[in-house]
Amino acid sequence: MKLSKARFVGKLALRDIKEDKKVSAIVILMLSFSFLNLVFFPAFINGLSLTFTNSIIEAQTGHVSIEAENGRLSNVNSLVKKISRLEDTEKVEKVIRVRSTASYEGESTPVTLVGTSANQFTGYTSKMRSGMFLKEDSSEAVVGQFLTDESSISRVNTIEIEQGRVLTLRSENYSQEYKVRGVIGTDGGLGGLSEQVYLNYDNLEELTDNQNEADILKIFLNNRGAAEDFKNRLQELNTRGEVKTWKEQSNLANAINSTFSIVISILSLVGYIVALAATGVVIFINTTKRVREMGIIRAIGAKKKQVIQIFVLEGLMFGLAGVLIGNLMTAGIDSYLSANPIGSPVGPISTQISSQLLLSRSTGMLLTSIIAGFIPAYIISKTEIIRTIENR
Amino acid sequence: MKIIEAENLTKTYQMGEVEVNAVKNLNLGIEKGSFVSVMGPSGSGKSTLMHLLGLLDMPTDGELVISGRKTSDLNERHRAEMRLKRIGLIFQFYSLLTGFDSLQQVILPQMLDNVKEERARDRAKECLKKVGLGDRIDHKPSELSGGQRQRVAVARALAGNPNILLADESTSQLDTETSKKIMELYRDISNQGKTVITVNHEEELGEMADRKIWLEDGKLKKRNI
Repeated sequence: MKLSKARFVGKLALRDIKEDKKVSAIVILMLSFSFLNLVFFPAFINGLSLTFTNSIIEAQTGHVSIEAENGRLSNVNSLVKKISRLEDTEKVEKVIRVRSTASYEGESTPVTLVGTSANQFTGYTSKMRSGMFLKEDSSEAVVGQFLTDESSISRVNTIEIEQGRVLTLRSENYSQEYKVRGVIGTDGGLGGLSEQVYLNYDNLEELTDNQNEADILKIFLNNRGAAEDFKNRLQELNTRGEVKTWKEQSNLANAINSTFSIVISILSLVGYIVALAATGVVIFINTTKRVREMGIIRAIGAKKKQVIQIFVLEGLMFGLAGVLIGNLMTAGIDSYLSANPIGSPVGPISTQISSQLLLSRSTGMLLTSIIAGFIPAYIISKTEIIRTIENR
Repeated sequence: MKIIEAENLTKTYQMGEVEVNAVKNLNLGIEKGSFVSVMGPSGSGKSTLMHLLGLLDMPTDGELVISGRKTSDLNERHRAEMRLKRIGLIFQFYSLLTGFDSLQQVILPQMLDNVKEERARDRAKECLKKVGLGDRIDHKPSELSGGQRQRVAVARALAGNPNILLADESTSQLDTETSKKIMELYRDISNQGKTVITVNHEEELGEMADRKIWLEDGKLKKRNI
């Protein structure tokens, strides 16, 4: 299309938008909100999934884990040294779990006792409800919050213990007292954090007489994207036990994603239909208002395709304005939620907006606007000139 | 030299089960530069004839030759091209585009013909001056009288420098005095070598043309060409 013809089409399209500014503003606002709807929900689900995955990684799996297939991993200290020397390794956490009974002032409850070598790990320290997490070389315990108060979702009974009190851990082979250094937990009790009792790995090793063993080695990497490659390198070390990456362990997060993908698809469809209807109705009204005018411009030499281009461009202009404002609104909400994440049982959730998401939704919205302009324009361009001119 | 030649030109409409011959076996030849008035009672086929001559409609039968070119050979795109470059059309009802001032109304069709902006602007001013609206170039249709609007439509039709100007009852909404002025304008345009064909309801206005054609029931009743 030559420049002067493009200007002809542009002037007529812009005239329609400028002539009824209020209606144009409403359409653009509707498109902006449709765009926000198209982006916000998937971005929120991405955020939820990410928070959930991070919680699972921190509390249960690490980026790569080695778990004993039968019994426990043995000779783990030398294995930890080997793994620590591998590229991408940030830290390795030895975890040992035993069943025990926790008692306080005559109240007892069965608990899982967790011995961990990662006492400075933020996965624990950031989830402290009160007090501090374990200190190296100290013989203190950290208790899950469900042991401290009543909770309907807990699988353990409360023993109403508090920070600073002395907890007794016992089994057939041992009975030992520990001062409670802190209380740990999450709102939803994710990963069992809230119902376990934590000791330093060395303390638990000593208590249970399990030497140089672990139930699981949790390996944290500098870059979690390298997990698959790291797994291959680990397997070359001939480690005993099953090696899994965080992705392989994130079945629940994957299930969340696949469940919500159907909801996202339906909501996206609704968003596009709203955009199509908003733009389509206004352009349809414009075409019916301008039937005779379109006949006149064809009579003075415009071709059918130029009539179509006028309304397609009008739709595109609405779409561009809607996408632009929608992007600004999205950026505003995203930065607000980044600063003020929504609290949830799995942790604080903020939106996760990828450039791919923005690009696909922007393109979808523009295509919808073009289609909304094309359909009524095509109908009017098909009408005989005489009929359009006689439409008074 | 004949600029328009019609041979057995026929246009039949299907109205339900009834066929209506709006124009029937019309034979016509119009000389270049002439000023012709088509007259006749309502339903005589005047507007249908103008639509056929303006390439807005296709004849059911017969042949129409414009500037030596058979129009039956033209496809939709070429007909639009011919309307743009060779035929200027003025309609019965006000046909200006809302929201544009007089200057823009005359510039717009030139854009379709890829005329450069500066040249289109100069040409538009020249055309508006020619129709006596040199001082109304920035007025929108709602700020103009009926006669002035039709003059803008004439200026727009002249902008592409067409050989033929077709005015279909272009004075029907105007008072007699304004109508006469518009007819005088057509005469001036005709005097500059352009062929002007007008449809007039009122005989007095039709008489102002050099040549007249009377239609009745789609047929040529008489002519003084």
